[in-house]
Amino acid sequence: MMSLLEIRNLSTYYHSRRGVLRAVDMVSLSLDEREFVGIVGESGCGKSTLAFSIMRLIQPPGEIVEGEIIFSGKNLLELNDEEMRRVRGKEIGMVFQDPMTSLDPLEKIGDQIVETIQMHEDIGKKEALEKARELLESVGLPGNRVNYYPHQLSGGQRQRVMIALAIALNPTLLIADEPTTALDVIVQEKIMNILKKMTSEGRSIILITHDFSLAAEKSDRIVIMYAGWIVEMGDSKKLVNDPLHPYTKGLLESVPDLWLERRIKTMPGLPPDLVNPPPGCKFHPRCPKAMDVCRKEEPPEVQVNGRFVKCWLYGV
Amino acid sequence: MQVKNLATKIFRPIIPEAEGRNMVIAGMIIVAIVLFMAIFADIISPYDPTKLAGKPLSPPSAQNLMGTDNLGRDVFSRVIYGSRIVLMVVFSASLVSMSIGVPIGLISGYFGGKLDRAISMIMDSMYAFPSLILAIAIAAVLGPSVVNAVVAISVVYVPTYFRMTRGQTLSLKSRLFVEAARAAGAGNLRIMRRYIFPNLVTTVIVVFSLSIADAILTEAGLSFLGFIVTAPTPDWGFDLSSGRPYLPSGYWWMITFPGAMVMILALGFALIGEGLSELYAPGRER
Amino acid sequence: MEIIKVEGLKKYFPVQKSFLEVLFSKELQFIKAVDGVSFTVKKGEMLSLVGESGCGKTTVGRMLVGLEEPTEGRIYFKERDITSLRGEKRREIQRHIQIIFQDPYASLNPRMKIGEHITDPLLIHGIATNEEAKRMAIEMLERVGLVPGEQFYNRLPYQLSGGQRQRVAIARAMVLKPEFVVADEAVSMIDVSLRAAILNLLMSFKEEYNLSMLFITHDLSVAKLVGDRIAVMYLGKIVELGEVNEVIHKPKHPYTAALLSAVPSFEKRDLRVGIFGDVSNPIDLPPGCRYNPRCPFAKDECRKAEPELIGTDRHSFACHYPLDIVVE
Repeated sequence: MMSLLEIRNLSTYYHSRRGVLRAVDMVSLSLDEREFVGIVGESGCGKSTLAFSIMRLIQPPGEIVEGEIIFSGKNLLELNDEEMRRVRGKEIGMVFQDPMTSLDPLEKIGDQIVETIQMHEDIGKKEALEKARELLESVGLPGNRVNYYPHQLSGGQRQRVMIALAIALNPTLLIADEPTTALDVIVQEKIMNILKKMTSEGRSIILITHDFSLAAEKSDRIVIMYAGWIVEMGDSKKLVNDPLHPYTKGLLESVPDLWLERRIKTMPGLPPDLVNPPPGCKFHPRCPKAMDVCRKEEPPEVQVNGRFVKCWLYGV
Repeated sequence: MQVKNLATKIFRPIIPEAEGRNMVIAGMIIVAIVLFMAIFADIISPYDPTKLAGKPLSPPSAQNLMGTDNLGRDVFSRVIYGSRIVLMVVFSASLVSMSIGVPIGLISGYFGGKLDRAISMIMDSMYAFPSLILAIAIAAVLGPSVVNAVVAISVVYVPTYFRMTRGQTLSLKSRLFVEAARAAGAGNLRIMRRYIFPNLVTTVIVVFSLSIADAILTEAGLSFLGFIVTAPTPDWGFDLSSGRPYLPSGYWWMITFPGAMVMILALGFALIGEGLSELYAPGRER
Repeated sequence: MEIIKVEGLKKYFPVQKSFLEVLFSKELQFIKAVDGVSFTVKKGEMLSLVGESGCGKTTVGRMLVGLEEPTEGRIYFKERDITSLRGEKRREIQRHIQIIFQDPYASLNPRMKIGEHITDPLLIHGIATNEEAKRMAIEMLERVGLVPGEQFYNRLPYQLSGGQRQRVAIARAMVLKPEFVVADEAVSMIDVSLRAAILNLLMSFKEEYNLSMLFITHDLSVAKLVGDRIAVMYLGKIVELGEVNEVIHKPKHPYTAALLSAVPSFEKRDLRVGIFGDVSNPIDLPPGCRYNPRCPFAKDECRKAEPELIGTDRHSFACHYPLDIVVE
């Protein structure tokens, strides 16, 4: 089967006064249809940059320096701006962390959705408004919310409006960048269920989050990012039950969990400075299993039991 | 402040990367040159600014670089000596307004309440007057002298410092680190001294240079109207007024040079202020 | 021994009104941020206070450290009423009650050296001379893991990462050897991989000083990990309070159960207690139990009478029809 999204050797750099920051560093990743993938990592690991790269929303001083992003058979990096604009929204939708920044405070919810629909589709206002109602209902909001202004809604409701906006044009892929970080767990659960339901409607979801347990619970597959690299990737359950990469293991052990009776373990050190990353494996200064080779050479990317891992422990 | 906008407009296109740093450097060079003129006036100026130095009303020449005035005095020398009074007046006036406006603004903003409302009302009503008109009114009451001019100008700029300090204090006092200090048991005085004031300093410096730029124009205005010096003391504003009657007859040099100096000096301070405020713009602190 | 006892604590904030509303409306309205909260914290005990944003948990913490004045109710510190203490007397008490805030970027003075943040409390309370304070601050910095302390002492906040700053905030709170500390979402803004270190650091202080703490958090997983007891707040009231294992494994209040159902976990339990709609307006609370509009089990009585928090020291709850479930 042909995968919906195929990223090959993608690198996105930011140019700063201090030098080149490798936010995404030679990342390869593929996504199947109807798949729910969680990208997990700490702030600064490049997970948001990856999402913005897929949408080609990287602004200077950031720059996609190399790689391919093949989506439904076409390389997004080779499209011109007009073609890319049509892909955004129509084929790939995106939901951001802070819904207030992307909603116009002076315009009714309904009008904003109608505008988005009419930008890409040639239908009348009445029809579009009817569609807006349906969309709101599909994310669990009463249809009459089309007449509300953003400030009349709670944070969770606004985020649901954002999801409605993102799926207004029926995209096949939805990227959600920390969609529930600012929200409470109960609302988070509701929104996650909405996202989850979308996969059964034929969409693929990329969930970007720092919350390992959330990703583990909701996604089919987990991608662990560290310092611009994908360090481990594979089936959620298997990855959580038997983490291969020392970072994955460390992260798992450091997260408090409601139902697991255990003490948490401290992970030593800090995430690296990406302008001057450590040589060899970027995780080696924090790694309990670091060997000589880890300090010198970039680890190989290997497949272990159908799982991707970038670590010398499994090297040749 | 008009001067500030002017500075931005003029200098942005010239220096392509007119970031704060360049503006500050440009401004500092201008101010340093004028300061140098004022300090070493005795050495630099070719003639005594109050004595005959050539034929009256002779145009700029090798003998008199900027020509001579109606009494035959060397305009170049008068321009150099003229920097002394303006610098002295604006510096001391700005220092006085700063040392009154900042503490009052700090206390008023920090404690709030009725006192704050009363002080703010007074300051706002002063601020509502155009600075030159208020300065003229005060100077007219006090009578013409350098000291009175300092008093007049410092009164005029107290509200500028007050408003800035009060506004900043209002926002700072609800910041978390101030609450943290309060929760640790710090008293009001300590909070103001260690937690609020240090965070005001950069803004005070910016306002200081911008208000000096404005004060230079006010000083020139007062001097022009004869509220600061009397003949034969050289001062740019004063020389402007003595040269004015001769302009229609084509003797342009008598007012052009002092006038240009007023502009340049004001520009210098405005550049420093603007540049600094760009360097320390909120958001860059982190 | 009870270190902190809170009785019927209330905090109402007046609602900001627009000009027209002031003209035409007579009544002043209030947001009932905290609406009658009582609990105790024993010596050496960690009480986790959990709830969603806007439930009033932070306001409770702020009242305890004197940053907010209660509208009603009493706060006792070692059986002494400190609710309305002011000035010098309050400052004396303040030494024993400290707070750690959520945002380590905002809680440090950008123009003050790291070390001075720690010497300041010592100097305020006249505990040490300048030199002693400096020595103690350096020791403290190393104790919280900022080694070498000498070097960190002279840095400015912007030179530190979020996690390091939070360590400074902890050092500042702990240097006075307080008896009671409020930690207000102390790890929510810290990177995932560093959270454990901060939590373990807090726990180590708790052990070392036999400290009593109120750990305010929205994260039940963290609350369970650090707490001896848990209090669950909803719309300004405590709806359930008890020993951690009691509350987590035998939730009585439907709200607690709904929260437990929603928390993401690596080993999710099959617990699906639902919840309707959104949080009610804290200005205009529903009659009866304030949770009734969202509660799937609400009956007539719930819409009439407000339930009291009743039960034992081990487990109490405010519900007319408590659940009878056990989550293994």
